Amino acid sequence: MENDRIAKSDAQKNLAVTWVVATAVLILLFFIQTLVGNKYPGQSDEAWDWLIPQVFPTLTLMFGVMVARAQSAKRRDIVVRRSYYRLTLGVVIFYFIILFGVVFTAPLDFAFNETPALEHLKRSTKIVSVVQGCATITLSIFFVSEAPAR
Amino acid sequence: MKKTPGFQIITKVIILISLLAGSVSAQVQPDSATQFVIVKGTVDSSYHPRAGVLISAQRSGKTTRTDGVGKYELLILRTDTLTFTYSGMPVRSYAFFQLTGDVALSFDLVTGEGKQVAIENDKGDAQTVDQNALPMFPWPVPQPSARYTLEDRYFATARTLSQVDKQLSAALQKSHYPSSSYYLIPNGFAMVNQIEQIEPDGAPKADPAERWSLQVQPLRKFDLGNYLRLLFTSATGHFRVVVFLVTNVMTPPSSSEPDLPIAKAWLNRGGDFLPEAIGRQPYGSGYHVTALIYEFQKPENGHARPVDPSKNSGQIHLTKSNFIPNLGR
Repeated sequence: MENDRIAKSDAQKNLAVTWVVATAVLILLFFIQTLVGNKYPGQSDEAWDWLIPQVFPTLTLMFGVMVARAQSAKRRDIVVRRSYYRLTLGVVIFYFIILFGVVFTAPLDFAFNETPALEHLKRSTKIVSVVQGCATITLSIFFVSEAPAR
Repeated sequence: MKKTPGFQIITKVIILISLLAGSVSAQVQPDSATQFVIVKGTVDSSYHPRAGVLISAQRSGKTTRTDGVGKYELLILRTDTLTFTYSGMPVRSYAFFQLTGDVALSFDLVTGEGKQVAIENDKGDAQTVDQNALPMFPWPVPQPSARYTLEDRYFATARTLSQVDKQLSAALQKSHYPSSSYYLIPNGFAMVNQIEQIEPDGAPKADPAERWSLQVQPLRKFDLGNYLRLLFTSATGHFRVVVFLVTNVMTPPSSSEPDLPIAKAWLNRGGDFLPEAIGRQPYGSGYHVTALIYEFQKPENGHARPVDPSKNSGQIHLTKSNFIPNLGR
């Protein structure tokens, strides 16, 4: 069935757009926090050091693969299972829900548990890394997998 | 000097200070195989070296005087008694003696009427046993965020330092300050109050649990406006330590700034009450009560820093804390 498949370039584009938009929102949030609100006085670098590894390695990986695909003559013929695309998109969305959750719960953690925001971010690193690992594996498999065109 | 094997017995040094004689005596006992010991030290008053202080050893008959920087060195018998004679020195002056050698002593001493200080020394350490000896407040005082000299009319009826202390304590109690501690300063005393958390305008936190906590708790219950403020900005705690100086000596300027842990520790390191020997001193002309306000800001993600200067005057701090209104009642 035609609906079972999706052009890989389209799927990659959707995933990349999702990742880029979520990353842009996070960067904007951190930009306001560090440059406007002085949320981390004297420790802005540490806040950025937490954020950058969470989003940029995977982002550059996706762009690298997409650029390579774009230069391939067969790119229009490659399709992937739509279900697998949805699964991958779901994992990516779940990852960003976790990431945004960490950032948005920082004020509550401070207010009720007296945990400073930076410490809250650092404490979350383990769980975020686990989910990020799942998202990266899923994306990696998706970006190299191919299904025959029908 | 190296300890001899025979020097196993606890050495006790008893310092007797006499107001009337204006002298300090020290006795070293008991004896050991080594008969003599070299005693070195310094004598100063309010951190000013005292030259010419006569130090005499009763049994050995040796005498010496402190040099131009207050230092002395004397060979004495172990069971000797040292007498420090410093006529002309203000009675309540601050004195510091450091004895090194087989009996290595280091202690703060305040002259006072009938005061007795006993030192027990068995490991080269010294310990002041006198319970009424107040520690010295840092002098010159660290740079405050604000200061305010209270009007003389508040203490018009006070005749002694003890009466001033009672007035201050009563006003502080009415203002719900739970505890104070005392330090010695030249010709008077300093009263340090518990560190408190305040609003940016200088008013204490309304909730006592917050006022006396060092933790910043901006959200007692969820509020969207506060949540967004906390999301984008750093919550900052404002803290204050009020120190009252009662003295007739001008407070010398200082560029040093205290940090929050030090200011917090002031309360625990001071005396619980004003010793009688100091409290009896007359509160005469030239005496003033000056409040030093040490204010700190502690951001959510960072270390506390002293505020210099405070955006509120010393008078505002004391008024917002209800101290001045309570002092006037």
